[in-house]
Amino acid sequence: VAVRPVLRYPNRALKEVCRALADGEEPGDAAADLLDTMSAHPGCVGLAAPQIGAMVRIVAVDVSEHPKAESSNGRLVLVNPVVVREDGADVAREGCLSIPHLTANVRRATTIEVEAQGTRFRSSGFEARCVLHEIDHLDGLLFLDRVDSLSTDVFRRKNYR
Amino acid sequence: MLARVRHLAVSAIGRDRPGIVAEISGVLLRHEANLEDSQMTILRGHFAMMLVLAAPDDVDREALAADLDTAATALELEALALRDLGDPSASGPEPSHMVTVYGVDHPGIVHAAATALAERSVDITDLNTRLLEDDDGDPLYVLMMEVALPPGLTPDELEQELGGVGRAEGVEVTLRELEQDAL
Repeated sequence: VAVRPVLRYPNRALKEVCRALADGEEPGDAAADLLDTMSAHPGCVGLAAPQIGAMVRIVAVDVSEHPKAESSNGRLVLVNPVVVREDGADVAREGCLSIPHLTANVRRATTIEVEAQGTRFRSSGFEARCVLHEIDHLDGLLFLDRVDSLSTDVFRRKNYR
Repeated sequence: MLARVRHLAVSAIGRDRPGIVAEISGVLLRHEANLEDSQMTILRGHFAMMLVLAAPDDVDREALAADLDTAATALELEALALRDLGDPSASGPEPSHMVTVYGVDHPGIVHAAATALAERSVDITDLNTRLLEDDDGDPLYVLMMEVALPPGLTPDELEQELGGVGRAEGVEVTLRELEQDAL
C-alpha cells in the first residue's frame, strides 16, 4: 500500500492542467496510490491524481458507502475522463481534502455521461457531483472557482472527517 | 391618486446589539416612510445598514432626522446619516460577471484587483472578502466581486487583465458570467 500525502492549496500542483495518458500508457502507481490514499481518509469519496502530486488525468471515485448516494457505479478509477453530456443543475455542499478547512455550495449538473479509457457510463446525483468535482481537479479547478457567493455559500469547518 | 413621495437614504454603523432594526424601522414607520431597498450585515460584531426609503412628499424631514438621531444615540450607534436620494430610479449598472480571487493572504490583493478593474472602467457592484484561517496552514484570502463591464470591453479582455493580477500577486483569479436563470 502506498498512501501518499494529500496536497493542500496553495500547492501549485492543484492549479495546473494535468496531461492525458497516451494510448496504451500504463497509469503506473498513480491509480493504485489514489485508491490507497482515498481509503486512508474515512469519508473520502473521491480523489484526483494531482491531489497526490501525480500530474496525469486519473480520478478515483467511490460513493457506494456514502449515505447521500442514491445510486452508484461502485469503485471507479477513470483514466482520461471526459464529460460528454451534462443535464440538470443543483446546488449542494462540497468539501475537499485539499482545502480542508472550508466547505461550499456549488452548482453542478445532476446527470452526466462520462467517457474514460475503456468505459462509458451514466451517473447521477451525489456520484455525478463527485465525478465532476474530481475531473475539475485535472484542469486545476477547485470548488472555490465555482462558488457563486462568498457571503452565503462558503463555510468554515472545524474538522475534515 | 398616488401620493407623491420623495426618496431618502439612511446609512448607519455601530456595534451590533439586538434592537437596532426594530428601533430604526419604528422611527420610519412613525413618519410614514416606506422602507424599500435595504442591506444590513454584521462583520465580526460590527453592524452596518443601508436603506432606501420612500417618504411622503410633505414629510417633516427635520423631525425625521431628529428622531433618527435620538434613536442612534439610544442605540449607541457610531454614525447615522440621512440623505436625499437624487434619482431613485437610477439603479446603477447591472452586474454581468463574477470575479473570484483567492490565495495565501498578503497585503495588496484587493487593491491590485480593484485597480485593474478601475483602469478598465469596470464597476464593482458587490464585493465580499473573507480571511479564512487554517489551524496548520497558510491563511486563505478570498475576494468575490460582482462587476459590470463598460461597453466595448469584452470578457476575454478583462480575463487577460485579471490574469496579470493573478500572476503578479500569486493568487488565483477566475471570471465567470453570472447565472441568469429564468425559472
